[in-house]
Amino acid sequence: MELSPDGIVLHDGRKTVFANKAAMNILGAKAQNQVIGVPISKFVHPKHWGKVKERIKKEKVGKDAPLREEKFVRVDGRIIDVSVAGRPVAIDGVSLIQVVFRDISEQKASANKIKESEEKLRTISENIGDAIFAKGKDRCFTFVNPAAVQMMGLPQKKIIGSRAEDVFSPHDAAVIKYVDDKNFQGHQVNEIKTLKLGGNKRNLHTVQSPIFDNKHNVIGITGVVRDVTESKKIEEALMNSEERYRIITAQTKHLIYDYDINTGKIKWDGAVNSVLKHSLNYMNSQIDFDGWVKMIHPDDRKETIRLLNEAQKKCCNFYDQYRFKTKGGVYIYVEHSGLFLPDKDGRPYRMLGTMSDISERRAIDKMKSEFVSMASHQLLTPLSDIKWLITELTGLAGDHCSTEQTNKLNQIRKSNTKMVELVKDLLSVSRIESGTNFILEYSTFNFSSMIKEVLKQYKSLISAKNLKVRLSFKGESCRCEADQKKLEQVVTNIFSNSVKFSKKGGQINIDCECGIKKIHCKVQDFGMGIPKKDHKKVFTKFFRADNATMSDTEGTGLGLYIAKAIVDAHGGSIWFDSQENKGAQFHFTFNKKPFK
Amino acid sequence: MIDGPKIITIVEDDTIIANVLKNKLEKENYEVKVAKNGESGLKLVKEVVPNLVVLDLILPRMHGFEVLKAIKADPTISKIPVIILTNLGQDEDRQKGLELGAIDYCSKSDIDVATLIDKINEILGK
Repeated sequence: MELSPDGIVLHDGRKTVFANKAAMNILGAKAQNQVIGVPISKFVHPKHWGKVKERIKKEKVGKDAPLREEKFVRVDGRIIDVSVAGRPVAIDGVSLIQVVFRDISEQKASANKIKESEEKLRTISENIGDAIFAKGKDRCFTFVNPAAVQMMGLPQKKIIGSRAEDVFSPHDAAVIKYVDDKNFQGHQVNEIKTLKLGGNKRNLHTVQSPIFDNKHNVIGITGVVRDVTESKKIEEALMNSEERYRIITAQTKHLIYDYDINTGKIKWDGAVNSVLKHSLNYMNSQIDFDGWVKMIHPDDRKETIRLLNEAQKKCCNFYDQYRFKTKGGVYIYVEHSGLFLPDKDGRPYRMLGTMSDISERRAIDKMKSEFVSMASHQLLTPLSDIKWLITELTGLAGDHCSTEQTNKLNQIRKSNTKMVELVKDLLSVSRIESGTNFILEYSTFNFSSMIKEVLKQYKSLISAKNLKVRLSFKGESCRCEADQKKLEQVVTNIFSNSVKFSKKGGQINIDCECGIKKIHCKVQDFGMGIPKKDHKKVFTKFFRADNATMSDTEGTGLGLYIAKAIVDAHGGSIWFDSQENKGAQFHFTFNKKPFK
Repeated sequence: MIDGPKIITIVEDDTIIANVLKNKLEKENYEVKVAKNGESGLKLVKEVVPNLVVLDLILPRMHGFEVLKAIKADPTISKIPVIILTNLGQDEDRQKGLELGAIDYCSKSDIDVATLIDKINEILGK
């Protein structure tokens, strides 16, 4: 009894009369008197005392009490779990109760832990997005978690106890069989497999292991499956765009940059070497934002930075052409376009864009402009001579000219005037092209008188086509301070089109609205109009609508291009509205006072 | 002293224009002297001290603007009115000509001979 590992206590129903060593240990007693002679109620958890009293009553009348679990209170007050059994004994004629007990606190704690972790596992398996399953030796499903049920798209009842070929399409069943076979050969599988679950192709990352018995026979399979269809798509897209970017940067003739506004760092890429002669490494290690600024030609720097700041402020597109220094100190013309990107607060934090060498293009453009300018001047000299000679000839002939001779002279004069006008238009175009702005010669004049003057010049043409022209003015005074000659050209260019493209007997309406700051002029005809497909090109140079070229070969297609440039220089706008065969309405506005 | 005919100097390398203008001006009783390049034109103006100069711009040897500058820089001839008659019709040429002191700027392809004669008559108070 002394050596038993179980605690043994004898009591008379009220007090302890004996306790072995193990009992002393379990109860945490250091001296006999801490246990012996102490009422047994002291060692029983108060909650259990009622039951214990009942048991003792039974034991007293000679009944064995079965093994049970109870909570004891140690001498130091700590509560322990014990398994306990009691039975009546008679020692030296005294009837006592013998209680045998064992401390099962640790055992209980670990059982609780197992229970907890089982619970946890169950929770995880039920809530996890990954499908978890188990199969028996017969390849029938024995377990599926809710994610697996969802992935398979079948009720759990149908899955448990079924084989893959019972519930999946032949294609999917074949794939599953292939993986299971590997497991049954003792291998683990960690692969991405494609199944056509419910008709949708899914990429499934499958980790599947065999379950062995202690003789190393495979008795089942357990697996975890994750649907990676979306992430695979993203991965593929990323790979594609990376690849594309790599090819583009290798093939492009542009410089590509990525500028971090906060640090000032620039990541350079693309045709750095062929355009700037600098190595990519040099640019990336040496040329940050300040370095870039220093490479801009000093004469262009201020304007470029101004435009850049403006774009940054609005967090929008930036575009400019400027001279940029290359490795040898030679400046090239670059065309620079970029885009500022906003952070989540809408503030620009990054800029991406390209720069390309347009020196050659600029040189060709310049040559072209210079050629047109030179040719036009050279043409003007003989044209002026002809003009002056006609006047001289008319004067010399005086009254001796026959009507026919006078007519012919007039025709020569008209042709000469047309050629002069054409050459002047070409000169204007070459100037607009070269970026030289018009210098406006401001004078004060009455816009209504000016229009009437234009109409006078067209009097013979108007009556020849039997056109009706209605002219109206509304609003404030039509007096304005602008470039009279140039605005006259705008009116002439628009009005001459209306006359040209009106049918015989047609109507032309000119309506002017004079506001306090602006004048709005509308010229409306009911002629052949402009086909819809040509609308975008109306204000481009050398534009002539298809229906116009069919009916009339005269005209250079420069009139509206020049008109737009003049209106723009006056701070106004020009637009139109037209339907083929129904006519056209041209509008333009301009400032009554010099536009700064 | 009886006033002789007023003298007009034409500096113009285009003989057609020069001749047409000369004929017309002579009909108006002006005495006309013609020079065919910038250098000789300036020399002629200094020699003759005309009442008015009609000056082309694109001239051999010396550009019309240089001739005009030289005239305006020389006090003995700086008061002579100069009309520019040219094929250079650009805004900035016109602006520059007037800034340098030309009294008028006419484009050969735009102006009528008669209109030019009217202008000259007006300037010379005829």
